[in-house]
Amino acid sequence: MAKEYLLSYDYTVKNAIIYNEKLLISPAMTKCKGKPTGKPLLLPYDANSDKNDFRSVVTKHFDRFFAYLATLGFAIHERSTTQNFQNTSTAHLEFPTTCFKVDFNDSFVTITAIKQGEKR
Amino acid sequence: MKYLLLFASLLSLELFAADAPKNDACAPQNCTTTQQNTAKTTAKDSASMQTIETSVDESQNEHIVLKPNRAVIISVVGQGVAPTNTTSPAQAYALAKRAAIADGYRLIAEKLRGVEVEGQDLIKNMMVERSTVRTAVYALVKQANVVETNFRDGLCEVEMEIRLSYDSLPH
Repeated sequence: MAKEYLLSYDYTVKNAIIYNEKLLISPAMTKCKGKPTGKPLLLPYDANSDKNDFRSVVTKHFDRFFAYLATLGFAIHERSTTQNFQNTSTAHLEFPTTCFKVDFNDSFVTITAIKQGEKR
Repeated sequence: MKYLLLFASLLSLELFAADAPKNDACAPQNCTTTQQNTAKTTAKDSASMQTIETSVDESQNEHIVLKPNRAVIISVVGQGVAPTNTTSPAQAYALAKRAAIADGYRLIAEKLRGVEVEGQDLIKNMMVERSTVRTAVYALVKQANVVETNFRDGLCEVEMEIRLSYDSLPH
């Protein structure tokens, strides 16, 4: 039985140094509306391990998951100010809250993003 | 001799007609020729305008780079610095890479979407007291890939690229 999770990810970079990073994962309280979009991501996991929830799998293979999020799209919002020839910049990279269908199999997890329709 | 005189008179008439556009007061016959001349010139002008317009259209077509069966790859290099208060080199590398990726996304967004620029100068007593330039970028970037990562002396450089193709756009 596949489970559904809501996930959002964002971080802020200030003057080329990362400021904070936030990954929020929550089980979906209601069934997500929409259709699976894009290719699914397969991540390995140990079925015998105690920690076999979605969060632990994602944090363990975060580089691959980050690349998967990049295919879905990041929103970049950057502002910079140059005052008297001194530059300061703040960039905010955000992955908007998206529903994922997560299917735990024998030794791997199938993660598929669900694209919602016009209504969000 | 008669023919010579007739030719001379015709020549003088033509010369007068050629000079006629410069004069405001002109004979009705000459005015009609002038109007014809101006009509010809406007026709020539319109023809030249058409050629200009077509050349502009052609140049505009040259600017359209996305064509079927032809992809455009935009490549950027983002830079990020590791924070000073890291507990390990691995953490420094990871954090610097995150910052570099955000910078790479910004550069891609700048190329694809453009930059909003606002400038302000405060001049007091004929001297620049404060000069401020604000820039802002906002975009949603999909399918950007990290191609190469270099980490040296606390600076992380990430080469990112995005492939744009006509076929991938919604039609």
